[in-house]
Amino acid sequence: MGLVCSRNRRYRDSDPEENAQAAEIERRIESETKAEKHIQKLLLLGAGESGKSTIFKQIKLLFQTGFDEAELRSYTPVIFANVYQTIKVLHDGAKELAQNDLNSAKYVISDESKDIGEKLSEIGSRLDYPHLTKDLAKEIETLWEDAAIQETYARGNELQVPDCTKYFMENLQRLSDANYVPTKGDVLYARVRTTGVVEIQFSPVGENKRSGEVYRLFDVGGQRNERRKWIHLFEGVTAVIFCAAISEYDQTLFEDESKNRLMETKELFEWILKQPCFEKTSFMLFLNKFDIFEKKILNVPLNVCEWFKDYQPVSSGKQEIEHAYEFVKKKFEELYFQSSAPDRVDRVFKIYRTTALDQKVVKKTFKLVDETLRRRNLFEAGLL
Amino acid sequence: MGQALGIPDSGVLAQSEPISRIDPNEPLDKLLMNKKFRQSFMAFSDSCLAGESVHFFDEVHELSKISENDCVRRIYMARHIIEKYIVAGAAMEINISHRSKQEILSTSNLARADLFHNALNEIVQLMKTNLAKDYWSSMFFLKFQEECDMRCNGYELEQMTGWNYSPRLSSVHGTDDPFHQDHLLKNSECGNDTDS
Repeated sequence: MGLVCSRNRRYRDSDPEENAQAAEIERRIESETKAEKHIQKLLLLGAGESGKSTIFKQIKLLFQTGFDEAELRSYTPVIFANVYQTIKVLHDGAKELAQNDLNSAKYVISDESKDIGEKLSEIGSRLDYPHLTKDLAKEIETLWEDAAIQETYARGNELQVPDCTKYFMENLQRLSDANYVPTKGDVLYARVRTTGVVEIQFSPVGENKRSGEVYRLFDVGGQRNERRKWIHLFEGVTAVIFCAAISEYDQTLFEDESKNRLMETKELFEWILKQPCFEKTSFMLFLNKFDIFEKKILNVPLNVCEWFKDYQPVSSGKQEIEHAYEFVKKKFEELYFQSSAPDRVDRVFKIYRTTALDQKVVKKTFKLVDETLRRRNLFEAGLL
Repeated sequence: MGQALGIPDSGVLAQSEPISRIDPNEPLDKLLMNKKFRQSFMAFSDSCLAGESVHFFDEVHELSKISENDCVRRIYMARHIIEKYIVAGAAMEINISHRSKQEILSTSNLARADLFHNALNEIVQLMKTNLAKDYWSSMFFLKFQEECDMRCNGYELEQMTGWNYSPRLSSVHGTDDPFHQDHLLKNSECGNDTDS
């Protein structure tokens, strides 16, 4: 109120032209503030490598103009970096296992690949990586196919090997083509550790062009050092999209190898749920990386993770996958209700099974998220 | 810290470097050797809450200027960097792997020339793949180039204000130092960190 009074006095004291100008500025600020109010703020949260940035890229592809050739090309150095870094991790990992593991013989790199390995490991430790030529691609392929490297890759969960490893290693010939332009798929697979905050604004106009909601989506880094920055975004959030990589139940954190990734996710989700600023915020839980989960679950028992230690497998094949998934989902549901104070249990909470790499799944999921949020808005406006 | 240690030419403030337009096709780690460029890139990174990487690069660069014979100074500077950027929960903790972190924390020789080598390598890659592209399309870069042109032509410079457009963020304006948020942490119980 005091502010309004002082503004009025200021208008009276100055000349009419200035007054009109000031009024116009104020009108614009007001209309901008009003427009801002209609923008729904969405946060992508979750631990490191849970798939937040892949969802972010998918939204760009689905609801913005997508990636033009220049943007696709800008991913070439990222993809090459992924290739060089990964082959180095595998080579150095094999050497370490060959020295220290009980069953060390199978990690010894063959004589033919040894020199190639040393050379690639040196390249991987450089600041600037060379262009991926046909010759280099051939050498990387030779090393990748070495039995010791394959054995090491089988223990990738202990080595911080990115999910994109197999995909890029199997596409080396295409990647090393002189006219190579990354595809949409390559861009989605490309692994970039996010630092800081990135945002996009979009409107999910579907086939029936009905929605009209405007969303502002924020993507953040997920490692522990990044989380302190999240708090800058916590005010006025419509919905949190929390990504949990359910396939990572046998992996440890990039930033702390003494901590299981799902245990960290559990604690992180709990912490987010308890934030006072999220009292009325909707929660969309994306149980992500289902594609990896369904393959892994048949080989690695879910109960290797402390959180799931009471899990009992019941069968095999597809049934077992569903059973394990439902078990994990129930754990998250329980956690949600345990961590939400009684006055908060009526906030929207939805769980989705996602594979962030799958555009169809993300599109369908986001349509559901959009519908849920619009229904919630109508409900709050007293129209439902 | 450079000042505290009496290290001359401590980077950010000195402006005695020759001014020339920079080429974005040059490797980022080379470009960052240019103080003016580093300053601009740092301002951009701070604006999208990712400044700690550039600050770390800056301080390790300062450390590299201390003579290898001057062990005492090197150790003090190394300790300062570890406390500020490396230990878990540090004021400006950087985003590096467990391995690189442990390698630094378990060293028996803090004066070692390659103490931060692997960490710096990871941070340069992080900046390259994550921040560089957005920097080139930000107003921070445009302003930097304009400043270069003006300097070459002998014009006086004005302070960089109102030029903070970034393609990464529109509505979040953190303070210059994104880590000064103790009061926020206390008010919203966010101090109950998950870090263990």
